Amino acid sequence: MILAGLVGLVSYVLAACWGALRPGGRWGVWAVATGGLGFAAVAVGALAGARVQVWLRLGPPGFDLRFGITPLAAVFVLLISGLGILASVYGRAYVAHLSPEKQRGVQGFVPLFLLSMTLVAFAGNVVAFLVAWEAMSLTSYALVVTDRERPEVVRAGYVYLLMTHIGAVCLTAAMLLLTNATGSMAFAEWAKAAPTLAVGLRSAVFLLMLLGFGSKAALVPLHVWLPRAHPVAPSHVSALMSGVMLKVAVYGMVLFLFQVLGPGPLWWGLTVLGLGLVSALLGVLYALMERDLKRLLAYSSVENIGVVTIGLGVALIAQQARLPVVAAVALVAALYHAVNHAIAKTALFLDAGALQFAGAGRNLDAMGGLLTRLPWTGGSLLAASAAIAALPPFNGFVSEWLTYQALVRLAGRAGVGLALAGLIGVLVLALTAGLVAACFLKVGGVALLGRPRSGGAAQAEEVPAAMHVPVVILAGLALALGLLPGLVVGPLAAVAAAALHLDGGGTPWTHVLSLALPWGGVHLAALAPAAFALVSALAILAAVAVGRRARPAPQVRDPWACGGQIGPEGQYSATAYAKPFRQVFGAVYRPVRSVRVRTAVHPFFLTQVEYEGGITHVFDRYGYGPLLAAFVSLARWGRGLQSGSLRLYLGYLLITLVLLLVFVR
Amino acid sequence: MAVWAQALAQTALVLVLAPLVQGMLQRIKAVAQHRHGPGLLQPYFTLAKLWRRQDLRPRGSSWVFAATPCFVLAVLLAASAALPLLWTPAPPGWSGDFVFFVGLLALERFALSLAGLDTGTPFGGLGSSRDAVVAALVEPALFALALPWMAAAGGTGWPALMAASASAPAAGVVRFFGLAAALIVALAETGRVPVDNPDTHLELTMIHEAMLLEYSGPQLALVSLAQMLKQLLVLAAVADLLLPWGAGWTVLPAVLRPLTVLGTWFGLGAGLAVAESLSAKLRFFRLPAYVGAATALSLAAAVLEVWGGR
Repeated sequence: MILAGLVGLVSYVLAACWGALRPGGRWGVWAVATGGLGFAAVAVGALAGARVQVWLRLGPPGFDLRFGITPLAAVFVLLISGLGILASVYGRAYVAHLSPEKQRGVQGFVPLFLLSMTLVAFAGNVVAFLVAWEAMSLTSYALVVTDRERPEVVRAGYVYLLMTHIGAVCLTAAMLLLTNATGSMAFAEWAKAAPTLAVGLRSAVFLLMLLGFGSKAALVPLHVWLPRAHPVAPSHVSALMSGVMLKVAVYGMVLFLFQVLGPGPLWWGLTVLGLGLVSALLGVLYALMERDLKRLLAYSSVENIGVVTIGLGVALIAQQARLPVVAAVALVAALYHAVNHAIAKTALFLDAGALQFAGAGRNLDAMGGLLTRLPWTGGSLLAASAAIAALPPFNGFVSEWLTYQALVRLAGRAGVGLALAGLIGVLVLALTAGLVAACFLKVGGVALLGRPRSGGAAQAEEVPAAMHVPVVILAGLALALGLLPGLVVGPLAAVAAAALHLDGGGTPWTHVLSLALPWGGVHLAALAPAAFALVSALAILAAVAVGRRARPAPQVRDPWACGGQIGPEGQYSATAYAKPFRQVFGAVYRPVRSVRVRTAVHPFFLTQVEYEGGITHVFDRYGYGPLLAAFVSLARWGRGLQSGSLRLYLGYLLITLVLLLVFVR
Repeated sequence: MAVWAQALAQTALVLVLAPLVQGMLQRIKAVAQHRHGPGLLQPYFTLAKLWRRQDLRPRGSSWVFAATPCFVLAVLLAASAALPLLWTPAPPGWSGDFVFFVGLLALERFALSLAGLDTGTPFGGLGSSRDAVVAALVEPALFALALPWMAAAGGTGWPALMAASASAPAAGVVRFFGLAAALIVALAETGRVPVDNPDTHLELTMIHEAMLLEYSGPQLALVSLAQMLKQLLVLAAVADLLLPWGAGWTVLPAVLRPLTVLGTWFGLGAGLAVAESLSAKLRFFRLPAYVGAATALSLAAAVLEVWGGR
């Protein structure tokens, strides 16, 4: 295993060098593939039960870099490696439209980004974790600002850098608190010592961790960087950031909130559940209003991280209420949803990039009819949309099903108050599911179906195989994980049980889990027969369709337009599609509109009508806006201290010296 | 083997019965409007006529438009296997799940809305957009119907829900609230009057019909049949969830049980027609409050159930 890990490490570094020197060459992709497979081998070994730890002594005792692998980390390493390989294959073809210098940057940094994420998962102590975490943030920042001559890109990168460092400060503080309290820097030692610590200290650590990982995972209200940074990055980088990096933050939450800190007071779980519900609902509501495909996908990531967090919150609550099985179901749901979202969102971002590459742009209102022009990209986009909309038989449905199970079990077993929380959770999740379906109907229906709304869309051509094959593989994976959930739920149940410090009492934990779900017989894989029913019904209907072949072929006619002719501009656009939602959820959106009418001679003779509409992003406007203004005014006030007068500065020195002498004797 | 035969038989039966329920609904509405109305079997004749007609496709539409009618019917057939109908259902080893049933209904709507957008006309988009709003609001309301029993049973499988419904402490009150909510949900889910009007092609009001406007001939027959099947499945789901005898009175001999189930379906269908005849179409933007009332009623029922049970 150490050998496989070394192969992975060396290959990623080589890939970075090759990428920077020969960005168009295929050796870089081969090296990423070797590295990914090496790390995947380590992960598979860990899931099978092997344990490895590596120390690198780098200075004073305690300041060594410690790496190891746990089954929990293995799940995420598999995600990083698998999706990294597919994104790299795609990336080599995709970067062709960039300038050579930018190609070097992108192809050089992507393997380093993958490596740093892998190392975060492997990290076994504070130093290793923070170094890898920072490397992950910096490499992704470098990738986000690829188009650095555009001011909005630089600004987006700046917001990202700022948010990610606020998170890093919180994480560092939390880890230093734990180090100070336990006298160790190793996570394994913390897990042993943490339950004995004072509740106040543990709660402080909990809040700092939540802020730190929440800002990386883009939970509302810490999500503001995501819709700015994802659209401007190259598409396979957005795919990796949204599909994989957010999951690394989820890994951090599971590792520290469950494995390290252990059960805490009830409000921990309620806070996490509340954040999850708000993120899920607001994420999808904002996604629904977007016309820019990549921004829409970014907001959809906020929603999905929200759903994952709902699972985590229920697990925390159930752990505190001594309902171990409910906690296990909830944690499995969260992990499974993280896996599913990684697959589907990577596919969606790669598809979005392919559409842009093909000349259709990012604006949904300028697309249309792309399914017939890009059959592979379009087909996989439809499949991934159904997966992310949690529709059966795709994987997203199974993990949402599990989340419902967790919420309902909480409602069924806990006291009245918690039961109510579970019931409201079910309703919010159901509303979210309905809105996500509407949102991705908009994506699929407006971008892919109907008639092209612009010249770019009308002339788009299918992208090269290197760009559509990875996405088709991902779409197939989304279907496979939906039809055969048992394959993944088994290992995840073992991982969740280990993270919750549960002991199956000799029997495999999956078995215990299946017995705990009521109606007898097969369980967490209970959806397999359902999938079977669906497939057989489809087969019957396919037979009907084939039978109809004997009839005369259908004739193509112009659609009904009240007797007239209607052009492609007469179709519903993405904006029009979302308009009723803007009105129904007006309390959240606070829509603004202005209509300016220009007339000539007399008000009856219109020459021009200008319409401008939009929504208010509540957190930007009422949260970050005033905060920023406060900081700026504070800085203005502080500027008064910097008068430029030498005598004043000497005075400051004197005052400082006196204060130091008084306090630090 | 017998289990499989039962499973296939009940799925076939709902498919065959769906147009009859539709015929009954239309007849009741006609009588309520002082019209003579078509015969009970008219939907069968209409479907047969459509099946023989020519198939037209709008220019520029893709395979999504062509495949949707078959697909939605298949999805609803699968949904009929996820629901207790005459007997506890198939496939063997699996007894159906409420969330899966709702998921399949959502999948059906998704496909139909995509087909509406694929026509490339304003009508299709209009129908899809409005339908998406209704769907997003109805999905929580539909979930809410099962909420009291979910809370009592701690699960979402049909047998668990029905067992909870049979043994719940505050069942009478819960059923009263639940049926009131179910009426609203069923009217919305089947596209009937306060929400949508199935009898009109007036673009200002139509939702579901607007998505189907470009379908003709056998394709239209398939989507119409699918709509009738969905209507019957929603009625069956309401019966399973909220009526004390669920999928058949257990005191009756097993042979007679399917008859009570059939009677229940037709009874609920008649109730739906009467309710539709008594109400006027609501403005589209009044719908959130209307459907939200159903969700609130069900949530109240669930809270009562939890309060009474613990």
